Amino acid sequence: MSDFDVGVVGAGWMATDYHIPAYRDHPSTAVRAIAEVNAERRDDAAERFNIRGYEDAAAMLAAEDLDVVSVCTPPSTHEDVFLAAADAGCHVFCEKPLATDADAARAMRRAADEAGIVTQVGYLHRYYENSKKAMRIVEEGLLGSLVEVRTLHHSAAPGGSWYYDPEVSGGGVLRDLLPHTLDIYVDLFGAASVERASARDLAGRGVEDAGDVALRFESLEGVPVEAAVSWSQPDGFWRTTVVGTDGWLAFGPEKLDGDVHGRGFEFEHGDLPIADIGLAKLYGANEDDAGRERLWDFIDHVAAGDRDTAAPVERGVAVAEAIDACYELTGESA
Amino acid sequence: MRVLVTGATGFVGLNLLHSMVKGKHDPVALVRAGSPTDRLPEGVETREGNILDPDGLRDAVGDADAVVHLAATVYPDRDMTRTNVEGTENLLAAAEKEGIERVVFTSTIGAHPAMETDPDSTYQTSKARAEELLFGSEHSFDCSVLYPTYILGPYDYRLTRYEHFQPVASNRVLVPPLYTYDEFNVVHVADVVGTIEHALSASEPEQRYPVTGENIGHLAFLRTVAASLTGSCRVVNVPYPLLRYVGAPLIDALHRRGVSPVGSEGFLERGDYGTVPEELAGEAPVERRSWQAAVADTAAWYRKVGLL
Repeated sequence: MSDFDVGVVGAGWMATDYHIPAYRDHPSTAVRAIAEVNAERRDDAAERFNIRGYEDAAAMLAAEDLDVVSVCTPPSTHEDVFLAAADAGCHVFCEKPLATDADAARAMRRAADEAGIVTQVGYLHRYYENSKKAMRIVEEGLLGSLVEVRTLHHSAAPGGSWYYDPEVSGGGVLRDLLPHTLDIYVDLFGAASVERASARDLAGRGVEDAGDVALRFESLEGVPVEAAVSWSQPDGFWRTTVVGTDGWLAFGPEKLDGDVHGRGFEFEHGDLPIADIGLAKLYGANEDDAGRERLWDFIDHVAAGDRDTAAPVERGVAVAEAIDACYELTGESA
Repeated sequence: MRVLVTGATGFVGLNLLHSMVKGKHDPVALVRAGSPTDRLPEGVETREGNILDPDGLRDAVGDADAVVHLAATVYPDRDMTRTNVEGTENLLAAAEKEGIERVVFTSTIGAHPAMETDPDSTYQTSKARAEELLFGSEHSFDCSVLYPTYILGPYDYRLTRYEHFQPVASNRVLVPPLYTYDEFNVVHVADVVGTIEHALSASEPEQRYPVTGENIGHLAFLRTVAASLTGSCRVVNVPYPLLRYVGAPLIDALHRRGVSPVGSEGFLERGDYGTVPEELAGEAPVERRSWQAAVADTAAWYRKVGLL
């Protein structure tokens, strides 16, 4: 007997490799059902995880008495699934991007508010231990007044064909990768306005696969905040640098280093070394499991009835609005 | 009583303001133009001014009944003497002209008359010269001076004490030369703040307040630092003679053969962080916090801001 019964929508790798295992391992959740339009994938997942399979979210919601719905389908389907789940009173974890545009995202926010459900958008990067540390250091004002903030996020071109169909994906790499970084920026600095954005199609994919944006935040009074993304690196990397009047820091999933008033610091996966003899540092074998942690954190909020999750649906609205503004400037749009 | 605080955004200043906003006096923070004020406690009144600008300073001092003078350059800087001596001179002149009732000045233990001032320390000699300004002539105001030893506590935004915590937090085993044979006299910043508040309120304030703890050795200090951290660090004591007569020659020999990139000089250093003669130890006009609490509260703050 579990506290929360979960239904997963979509049976792609995000569902089978991340969502379902995370809910199965959590002591107070159990996955009961999966909704997937593709019969073969549906049957595979249903059999593999011993759960009931449905053709779509509506059928699953009608037949099951669920507490939580986890959305792992392509972006253009998110709105309908989200609205139906909210209507059924289910708490919703929705993969990023929340929606293909801000109009859809706002409709989802309205539905969530009316239903009073707990929501979270699946941004991943804030859950790296280094990100938590870096966000804390910035929020606590250790770096003094900020001078500039920059992120580079370059990853492999995604495998699914829907990523290259803007009707389904809501755009190209800007819609796909920028949300992870915008989530952190908006959390730290408030709503973003887009000052400049550019997009390129390097590999002739039909959607932009490289882009960069310059943002402004009212709370930062003109401090340049920039991000560049692309689908160009098979191994992928993500790195954010924050510079302030009193110091700087730079971090990615593995390493965080920085300096405040000449005192340096260095972390791996959020931890200090286990041995530091000056010439060399040795770190423990700690790995983050950010993919699982975001789902468990969401469930903790569901259990507490706390709608103020790390990235609730209104964050998704702010992120979608910023990306819409990017596309207005680049002239490309879904 | 309106109390103008110089050095309000510094380590002691922030601790003082966080305490004063809960107390009976009204603090006013003197901040330099363009200096960010977001670290100050919410609602604290600020006045723009600079202790090196006598005219602007008079306006700021004019509104106050008392002044707590904390502004100083502590770490090597070519303007140290100017800030610490001329700045104090300007402030005292403004206090005199504006009819201030009381001035509280924070010096350092090395500038106390019972101590020998280190002639090589620009900081100590600059504080000793400020001493002459305070006690070398008559003033129209009451005047109190604090002489704290090595202050630990929260709001250390310059990370001046992080060097003691970082190596302990970054090693499971701590052996020399990861630490040197230092001696400490640690006081909790809350005791410094308490003494300042006491000096502001005392009906007849004393002129000189040493704020000191007990002298402690490196081993007790580092083991307390280790206990204040969540990780487990074992501090291994290697007796000094062993290091001096066995370790150091060995490292020097390795250095000569190009095996060790450094010689033994650094390993044999002995540092002193504020130790005092027995008769000056354990002094403060307030109920003293333990030095262990000072260590624990410092670690808690570094943890809170994400640095441990």
